[in-house]
Amino acid sequence: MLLGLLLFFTPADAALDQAKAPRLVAKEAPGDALLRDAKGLRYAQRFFEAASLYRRYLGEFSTSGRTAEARFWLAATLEQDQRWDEAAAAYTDFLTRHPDERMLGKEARLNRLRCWGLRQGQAPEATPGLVAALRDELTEVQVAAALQLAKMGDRRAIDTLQKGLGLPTQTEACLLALKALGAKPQPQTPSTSRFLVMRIQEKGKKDPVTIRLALSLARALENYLSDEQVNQARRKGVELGNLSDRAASLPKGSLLFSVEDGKSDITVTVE
Amino acid sequence: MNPESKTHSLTDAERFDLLEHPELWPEDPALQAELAELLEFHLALYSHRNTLDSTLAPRTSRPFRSNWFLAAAATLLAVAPTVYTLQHMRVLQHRALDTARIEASAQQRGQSRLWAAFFQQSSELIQRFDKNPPVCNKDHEDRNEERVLAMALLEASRQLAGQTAPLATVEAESARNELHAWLQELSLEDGCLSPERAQELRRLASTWDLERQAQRLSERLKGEGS
Repeated sequence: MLLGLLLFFTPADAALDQAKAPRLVAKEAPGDALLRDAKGLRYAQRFFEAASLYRRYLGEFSTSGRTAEARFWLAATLEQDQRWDEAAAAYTDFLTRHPDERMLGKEARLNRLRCWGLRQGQAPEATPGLVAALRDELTEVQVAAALQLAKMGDRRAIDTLQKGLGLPTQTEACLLALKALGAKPQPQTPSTSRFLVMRIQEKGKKDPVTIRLALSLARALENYLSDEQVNQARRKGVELGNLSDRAASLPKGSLLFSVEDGKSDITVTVE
Repeated sequence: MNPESKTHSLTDAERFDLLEHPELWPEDPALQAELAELLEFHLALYSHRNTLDSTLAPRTSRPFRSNWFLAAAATLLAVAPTVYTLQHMRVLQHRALDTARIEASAQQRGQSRLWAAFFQQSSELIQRFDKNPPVCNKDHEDRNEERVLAMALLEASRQLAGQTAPLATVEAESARNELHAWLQELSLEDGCLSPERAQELRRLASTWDLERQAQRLSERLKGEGS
């Protein structure tokens, strides 16, 4: 009884029990219980034991229809356990053996990049793996590889990061990475002929600082504004997320908006 | 055109000429600061040209050498514009430094805001996942919208993994890892979840305390990015 209570209040075992519960109602294929226990251990953050169960499953049920799933979660478990080299190798194993698994395959490629990213300069396959991923068929994978390379100052990432500027969900991360690399962002869109010009007059300084941003990078403008200035712009009805459209419709030299706070006055014009 | 390749083909005289025309310099503030320093050094040497000339040149006639008044006048003529140019260069140099500082601050603010937004949206998603959704497939939970959100946040998480966490690196990175694992579980599911699986994911979020962690880090990072 006491043992039962103890087991009940141990989160890891509770997770295992929860994972085991459906066994009573559903008819299972051989090995399903093993996978369920492995998941329970993974949820309980007992990664080492979870990985052992996944390996055992792959050894005992190598012809089952769930080996792809088992291989993927084995790699994910190793990654969560921060065994980066083993995880990267396990993802590679999954990708080699199950090339037709599209959804899990994309996750595996992206997760492997992260493992390699953390091991750049330490594991021999990490940097070459990231460089090879710059030519992946998926742009999302290419950009993720470039971001990891950029983190270590690797300038081979620049071309892909420039390409990533054109993808709405990647623009900001690519912009930050390019700036960290000291590279000038060059968006590959037709709106590059127009610029947003910010004149930043800091309090106590004699001369203003001028920053120019290509119209397609207008989203980055918000980074130059403090919270107070962002709120002020919104109160004026300026949609900072949609500046490029508005700016494109205005004649050159037009004032887009101006804001100020205790530290600086900022004027933004279209040129 | 690559400015570097252009400068390679210039003669020394043309390079000095370029150095004295800041309006033709590349836009990179760091490079501008470097060029400004070079120019300052060049002008400083230039201001001592007369002294150097008189010291290094072979001496010709005694009466001319002793004429200190002429030498002083020549020095004055050379020094006056030099002082003005030096002053102007200092202004340019300070402006380049200010620009670099503002750029660095914008970079840090942008990074903090990306992290804060990720934690904020993850926290909102977990709260939403706790609420009763529409029903699908008789007794299943329709979590299609949450799944789409999870996929978007997973992408954001990967982008953040390519950056350095701006505050409390270990804590933010560790929370991002746990959120990433949870988001991955949800995004790999079917949009129409069995009640058991939905409950399992809720319990996982609660066991790992994901919502509270995300909320707390979002508040902290918002403060940093203000």
